[in-house]
Amino acid sequence: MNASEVAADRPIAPNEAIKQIAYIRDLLESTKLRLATAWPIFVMWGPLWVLGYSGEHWIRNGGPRWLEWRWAIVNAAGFLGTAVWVLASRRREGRPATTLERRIFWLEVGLFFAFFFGLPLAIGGGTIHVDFDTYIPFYIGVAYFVAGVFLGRELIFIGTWIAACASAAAFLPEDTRWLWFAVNGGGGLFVTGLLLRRQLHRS
Amino acid sequence: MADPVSGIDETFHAPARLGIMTLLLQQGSSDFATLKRTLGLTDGNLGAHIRVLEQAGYIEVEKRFEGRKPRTICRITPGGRRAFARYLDALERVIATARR
Repeated sequence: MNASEVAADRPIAPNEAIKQIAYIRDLLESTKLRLATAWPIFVMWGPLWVLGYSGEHWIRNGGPRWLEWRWAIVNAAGFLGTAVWVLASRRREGRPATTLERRIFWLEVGLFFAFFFGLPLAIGGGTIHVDFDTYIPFYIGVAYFVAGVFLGRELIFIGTWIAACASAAAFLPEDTRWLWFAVNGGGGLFVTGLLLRRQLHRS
Repeated sequence: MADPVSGIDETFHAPARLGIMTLLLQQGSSDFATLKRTLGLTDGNLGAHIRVLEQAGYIEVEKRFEGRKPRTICRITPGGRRAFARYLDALERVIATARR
């Protein structure tokens, strides 16, 4: 078999064309399941968000002092858990990153610098006041959204949800804001994890 | 009216090659083992289809070692991207013409 033997055009029946398109669609659908295998990450980050944000509410209402360390605990646990999952899945799959995955990684790195260096410099010469309580969750929402454009609509949904919650939180009184983030952000991540898990088990 | 059949490049017609091109169009690149697992093909079968696509200039193949492990990476070429887009357009034209 060589290229010259197969490169000639030939007529194709409509039902054959439909079968070809259906095959492509099924194949693309099956590759989306790769995202669904990441469900433990979302299930883990959901309660961590709840702990982080409800901790702020709690501490303002007489909670224990150790809660001041909650973000260090949350971030250490979250990033360690994520790293363990990524390494384990890479070992299990034993494949190099695809061009798409590498591009998404660099896009996310670019987005991080744009949000935390580029935008503040462009808008206010690096001296603008940023409401980090809402800016960081808004950035996380956008980061999920951008990854979702390439990886699957579940990330688009949760990204839009988190960014919308962060935007709305800017108009909420401070004592309500933390519970709002805990329930909507943490809950949203947890539910996304459960939906991905269900998607994986159904396949 | 454009001939709906023009653009049906037989290179892409075999399900295996259609699958390889679809995955490479989506991912940009993929290694041999992942393509084999995703498409459910044997080493020999996948190798033969990759050669056809490579000879047509639609994909490029890079062989390298990662540690002691040999790795074959397939990438879609710009020409392959264009040709596959034409093929998909042609399929849609065939279906649209049949529906009229």
